[in-house]
Amino acid sequence: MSKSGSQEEYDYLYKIVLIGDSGVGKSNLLSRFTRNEFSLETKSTIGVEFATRTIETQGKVIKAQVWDTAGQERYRAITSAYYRGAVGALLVYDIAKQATYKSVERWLTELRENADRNIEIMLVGNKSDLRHLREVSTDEAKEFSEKHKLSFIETSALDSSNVELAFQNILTQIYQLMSRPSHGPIVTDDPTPTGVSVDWNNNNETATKPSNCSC
Amino acid sequence: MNQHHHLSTSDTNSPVKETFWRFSSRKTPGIAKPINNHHAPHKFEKFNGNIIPTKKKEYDSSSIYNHNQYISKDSITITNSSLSSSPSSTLSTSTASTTTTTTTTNTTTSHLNVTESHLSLSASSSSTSSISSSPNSLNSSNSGIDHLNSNNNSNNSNSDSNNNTPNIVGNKYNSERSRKFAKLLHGSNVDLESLKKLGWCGIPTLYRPMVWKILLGYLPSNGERREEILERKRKEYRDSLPQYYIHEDKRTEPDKKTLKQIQLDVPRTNPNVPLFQQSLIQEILERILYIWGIKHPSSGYVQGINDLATPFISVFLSEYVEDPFTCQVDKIDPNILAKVEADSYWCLTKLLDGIQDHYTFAQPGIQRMLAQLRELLEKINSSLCSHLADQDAQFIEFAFRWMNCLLMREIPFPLVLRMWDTYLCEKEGFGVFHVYVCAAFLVQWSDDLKQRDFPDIMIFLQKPPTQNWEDRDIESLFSTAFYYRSLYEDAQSHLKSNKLFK
Ligand SMILES: Nc1nc2c(ncn2[C@@H]2O[C@H](COP(=O)(O)OP(=O)(O)O)[C@@H](O)[C@H]2O)c(=O)[nH]1
Ligand SMILES: [Mg+2]
Repeated sequence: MSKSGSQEEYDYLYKIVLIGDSGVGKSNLLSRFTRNEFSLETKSTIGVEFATRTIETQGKVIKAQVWDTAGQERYRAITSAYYRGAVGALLVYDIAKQATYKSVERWLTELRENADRNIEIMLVGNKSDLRHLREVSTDEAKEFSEKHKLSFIETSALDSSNVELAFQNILTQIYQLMSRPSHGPIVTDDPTPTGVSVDWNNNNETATKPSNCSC
Repeated sequence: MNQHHHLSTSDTNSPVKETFWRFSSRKTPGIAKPINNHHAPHKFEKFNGNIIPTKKKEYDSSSIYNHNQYISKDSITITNSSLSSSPSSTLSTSTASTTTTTTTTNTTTSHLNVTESHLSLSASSSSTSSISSSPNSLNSSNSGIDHLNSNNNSNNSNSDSNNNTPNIVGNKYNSERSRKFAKLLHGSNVDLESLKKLGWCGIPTLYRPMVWKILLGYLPSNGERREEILERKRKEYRDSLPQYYIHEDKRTEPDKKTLKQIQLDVPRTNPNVPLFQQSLIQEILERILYIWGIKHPSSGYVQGINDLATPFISVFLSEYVEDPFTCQVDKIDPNILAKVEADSYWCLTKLLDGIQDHYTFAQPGIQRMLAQLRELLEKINSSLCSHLADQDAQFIEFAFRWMNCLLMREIPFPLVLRMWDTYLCEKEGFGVFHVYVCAAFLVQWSDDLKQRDFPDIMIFLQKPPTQNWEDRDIESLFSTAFYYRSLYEDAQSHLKSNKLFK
């Protein structure tokens, strides 16, 4: 297997996670954004899947590492590990399935418990092409996101609408947040990993969630 | 107007900075220039792709016929000529010589009515399973385990000629193997040890359903009691079905949730094998998974278990139809389908009994296997191990699915059947030997992986180039795994305890 050799430069590298109930279209949002592909017959995601894409915003080249996780609860003990280092999250629901929207709060709780507290969150109502089947109104979701200080967008991985924009927006927001002076250097030569608390090699860690979470 | 922007105004002395320092370990110093080939995926990338808007289907024609089942959804109606070029029809001809002369496009649906009595016949063409080194023939030489005997018909994709002029040596060998299976199974009491020894190198398609059932302990080795037990078990399953068919209002909330998840996953199961796109099969799968889930509350249905049920359905169907991968299920006698369903349910149950802690809370069985895999790799190929560590590529990131779905997502479906032959002949094939197989799987790409950085490692291992694999590749993998085990088994045994994690 030879490498393509297409070397690319970038200024910033951001890890984004996709979360939300099973079947809302996370994997297809990922494939639409990173490969411009959509499939009706994707297999369910097991563990994590991963892809990257580089975009430009405000004169900077940003490489997005997008992580896709399984939506089923059973896996959450393990997927919580995948929040490690994530600076953005797309919290996806299906506009044609009320139940997936109802779960949004639960996912927010999970984010609060497992992710960095400054993680940038965008609520994404996917499958906007299914107009005739809509169960969650745009206004309702918009109101919810204002209340919870999330950004919000409706997308369709099927017809591509707003997919590009969703990623572009969250990456830009992260960039703006990160480039504020108090955040210091983002790119560094220091290879020492620091800080982030979840060490998911440790089995005990994954089995129990911190009970006295400060947030 | 459906977006609303919000910029976080949260406090600035946050740990976010640390987040970024994490990243620095995943890239080369400074502004990195990683080698990145994910925009130019290797040629297998879209093998199953049904890509919109281009609607491009890139089926590799050779693999379609290599494994005689990778036929796209659109080609469920296959022609007679292509059918007769598929190796499986050779088998059916030998068992029921009338079937291949059928001229309608529904050829695939002809019922074979192969009953157990056929098993006593010594079929002259035993189809698939080619032969390589048996566990016994392996000595301490890792290299050069060859596959001279490998008689798979796979290199001659679309040509009819191979079936007309078969590899005589291979056929002789295969028919001899078939005779051995026939002889073993014919006796009133099957010698399990001999059966495992023989089956380790692959089980002929004709005998696979029965051998699997025996090895899983679903059927007794005592031949006389089999019919009676089958009947009882099938009835027991039938009797549990009302739990599935209860009125929606009577279902508990957790059960509703389980059913919903199953209904999401069933249509996404083996999308590239036409069999599993047929509604009758999807209904069968749904019932099996639901009943299993509610009867095993300690784990319940977990995504990935749907994959594990599929080999049973297709193998047990092969008792009755010539090509289960493409057969038209609605033409099959419902009584036969009911038997296949019940047998599949019980065998799935047996399989999962052996690996229960893979799917209970926090999936300790999988965690344990991942720890074992890492330990093993350290011994087998420490430079690869440290490269992965340098790149911060964690085992749980790239190998979780290998454990959760037993490599079924990485290996073409027909070869999975071949893998299970060996796993079932092993003492703890799915729980222990599988780790050695995963080590062999990883190590074979060592040179390549060592040149990749983190994202490239992940992208490569998410879709390893196995699409054109043949039986011999599996056998080579198993030979290596067998060798690793012979070297490291003792050293690994301490890992079997749940406690040991780094
Ligand atoms: N109509 C429509 N279907 C979609 C869209 N995105 C995904 N799907 C379908 O929804 C199903 C689940 O998608 P998938 O990406 O696997 O969901 P995940 O479980 O969240 O990863 C698949 O059949 C997709 O084809 C969309 O934007 N519109
Ligand atoms: Mg998914």
